[in-house]
Amino acid sequence: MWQALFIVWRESVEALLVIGILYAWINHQANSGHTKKMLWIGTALGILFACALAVGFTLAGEWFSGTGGDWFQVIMMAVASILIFQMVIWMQKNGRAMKKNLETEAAQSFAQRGGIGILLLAMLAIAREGSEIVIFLYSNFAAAQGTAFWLLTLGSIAGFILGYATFMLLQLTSHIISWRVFFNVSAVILLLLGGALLMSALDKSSGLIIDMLANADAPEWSYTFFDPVWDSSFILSDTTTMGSFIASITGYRAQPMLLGIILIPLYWIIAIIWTQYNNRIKQ
Amino acid sequence: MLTRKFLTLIALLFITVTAIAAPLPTYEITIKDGVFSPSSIEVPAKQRFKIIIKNIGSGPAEFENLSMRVEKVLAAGVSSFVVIHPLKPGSYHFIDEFHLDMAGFTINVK
Repeated sequence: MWQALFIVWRESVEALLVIGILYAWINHQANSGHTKKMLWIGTALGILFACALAVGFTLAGEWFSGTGGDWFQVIMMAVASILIFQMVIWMQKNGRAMKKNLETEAAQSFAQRGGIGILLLAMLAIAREGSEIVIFLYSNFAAAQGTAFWLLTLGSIAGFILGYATFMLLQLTSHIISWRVFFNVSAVILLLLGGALLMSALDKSSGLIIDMLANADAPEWSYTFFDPVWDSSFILSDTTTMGSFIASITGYRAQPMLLGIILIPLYWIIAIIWTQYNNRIKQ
Repeated sequence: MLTRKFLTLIALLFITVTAIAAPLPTYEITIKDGVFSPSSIEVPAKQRFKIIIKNIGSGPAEFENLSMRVEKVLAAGVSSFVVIHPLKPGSYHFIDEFHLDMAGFTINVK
């Protein structure tokens, strides 16, 4: 639920930011009524695209039942984890110049194709953020039914409302709380989530991989990567409310497997080096 | 990181195809609308094993033990498996998340 809430929150702010910039730009143009209509149509088409993608994933997931479905979910989680990296890096590179870039793009496409250009611009931006939401949520929703399903739905709706509120707050108080602070703070949480997704993908795939190893008559030491190294459930169990919250945000495991203990620090080293490298380029 | 994973995967697939099969000790169970059959199994301690679960009920089932991170959703008629890492002696309880009122399933480790 918390993952869903956070992801939808952050992505909605990003999507609203794009629409907000385009909206403000259109207000300065002649014949803004017609262009605004194109902006809303583009937004609706973008949302529709994301919904179609969600339906497609669900159908694909059902089609792959059993082991095939498990692999499908593992791949989706890994893709979501990589996407998070790409998003954080993209924001770092473009965040500061985003308004200017978007306005230039809007002016160009408006000059070339008029209202249709704005429609396409809005549609692509919304479809992009929307597909990201869909991929993240799919990784969570795939296995959720019953109570878990409704909690996720609740989390997603709350995330959108919170996203809208955050957007308005940042718009109105941009001189007090800066967009940069918002993006920096949420980037850290996003990276944490990326690590958590990686751990989920590992959990989900470990059984499948062990089975392959067994069928291949693999040497005994190769299994040790998937065996739990310690059990810290007496300090913090990942099944309690608090523990599972921390687990879903950070990838914490009370009984982590060796491969997880290797991958998580590696993930963070790459994340830190990469973001620092991008910062240096900018200066 | 994804490339690394994929490379490992491809390597594993290659091994799977080329080597002679020596599968894990395997136990088969069925779930029918929350009823497990058999309702418990006995396994030796410190040994990795596999459970094949077949859902023969009319609706979906979820084979679950949260502290062992086993969460397997099975649509009606679907069969799949989980691999359990080596366990200490004791009793481990599993449930069908969609039939919480039922007795569930137990692994007794000796």
